[in-house]
Amino acid sequence: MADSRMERGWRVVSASVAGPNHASVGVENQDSMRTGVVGDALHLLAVADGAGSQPRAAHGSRLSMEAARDAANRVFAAAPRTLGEWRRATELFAGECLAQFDEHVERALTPLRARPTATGANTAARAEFATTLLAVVADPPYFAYVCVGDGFLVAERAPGGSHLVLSPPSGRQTASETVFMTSPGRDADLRCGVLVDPAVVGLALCTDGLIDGMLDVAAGPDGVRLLTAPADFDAYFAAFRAPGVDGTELSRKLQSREFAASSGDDKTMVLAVRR
Amino acid sequence: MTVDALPVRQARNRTLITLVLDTSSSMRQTGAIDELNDALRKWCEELRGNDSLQMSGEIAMITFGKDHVQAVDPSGRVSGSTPHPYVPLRDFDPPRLEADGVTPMVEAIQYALEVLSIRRNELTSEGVGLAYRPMLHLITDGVPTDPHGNRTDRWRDVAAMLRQHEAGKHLLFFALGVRGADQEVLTGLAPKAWYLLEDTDFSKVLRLVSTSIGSAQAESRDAPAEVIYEKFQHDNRKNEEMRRWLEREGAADDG
Repeated sequence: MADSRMERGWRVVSASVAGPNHASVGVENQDSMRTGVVGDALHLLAVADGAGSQPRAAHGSRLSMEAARDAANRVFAAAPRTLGEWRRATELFAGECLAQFDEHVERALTPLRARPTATGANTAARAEFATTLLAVVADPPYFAYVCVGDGFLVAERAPGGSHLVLSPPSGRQTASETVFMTSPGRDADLRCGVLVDPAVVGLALCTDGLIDGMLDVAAGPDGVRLLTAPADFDAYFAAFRAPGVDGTELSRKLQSREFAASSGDDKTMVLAVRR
Repeated sequence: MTVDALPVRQARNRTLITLVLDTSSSMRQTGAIDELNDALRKWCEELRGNDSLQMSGEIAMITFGKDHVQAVDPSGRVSGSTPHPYVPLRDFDPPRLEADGVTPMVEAIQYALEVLSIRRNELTSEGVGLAYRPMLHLITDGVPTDPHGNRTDRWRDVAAMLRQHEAGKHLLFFALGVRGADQEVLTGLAPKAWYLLEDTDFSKVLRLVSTSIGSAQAESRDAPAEVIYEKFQHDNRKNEEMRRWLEREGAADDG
């Protein structure tokens, strides 16, 4: 497949590591990620976080990546040219991500349901594939995003530095309020839109295991606490923009003791930087 | 800047661990209080190996028996009752507990729920969330009594309250008994998460506490309490099998 237009001037690095809570008991990494060319030479960047309580969550997170790829290939078969076209395409992309995910899950469930268990009929259920999704289809300066759940997106501007453009839900007591692609309330939770900004020179898509390690909390107006991207988030973009820094360094960093101490969760980041 | 020097922030969300410890006179009569003190110190050292928990964990110790019901300072800095029951786990340095008096277990659980609620509210007002569901671990060698030392059934009311907290995904409750504890009380308080040991091996009890923390961390935070309890039982069985196997292997090697 030909390169995307983004690849000509950008570098994409990504890493996904099992959190210490999973690694210590031999549970697989339930996060997934995908990057690559989609549609009419556009670029897909995507991360997903499978819900740890569900037996097929890792499979679910992989299916959400496939759904994002299939949806992007279908919707962006012809690249949008105007902001209006991008907005319409983004709406379609969001709906298609959900529809494709449902189809993928149904296809995965069919053989499972046909397989009887020792205790009778197989009751494998859709909820077992619970996962979040954060996907960006990029053709700089256009970035279409779709998000269900608690992934977050940071954009770096030059000038301007790092900004948290898509925040994980804040103010929750625990993650028990997380909405998944399999949740009844996913349509209400779904966030999508188009970022159009020629000054964007970096993007970071992250799963919730990186919230504590990478974001700050600031007091907003009326005392509400808001998550923000700290100024030194720029260092991540700068590090992988620098020539000679191997992309695998990101994986090593996410596996570091510092990150392990910041959260026991699985951690995934897709980082795109303009060279 | 090298990749190694890239900034990483410390854990912000908290893991609240609350030990509700029996310090009634029966613990003194059997010498169990000394075993508990020794086991707590050993457990404290073991916890230091868990980086993630050290950074996010906060621990409180509620005792019942000696001095009725009180929160003692888990860092050992304040003697007697402390107004700040929770301390960061990295400051955990358990004070030596003494045993005396009757067994106000019901009041202790109620008090533990109260201090937990206060801490949750404090964290919320500071914009700090919970990394995992708060965990309460009851550790006892006896049965709940009234102020005169007579057995009481008031634990049944507390059990109903605990089920509500669990259903709302606000709490995980574990009832861990050693020799002398009452199975009916333990199963009533924690139908899916109780243990009754035949001896007073508090090291084993605290291993169960560690296992339960690991089980809660490995499961999704949105999992129903029953799912986490099932994982706890499963993980505990696995750990015990591994321990027995290692003991057998060790014995074979020695032979």
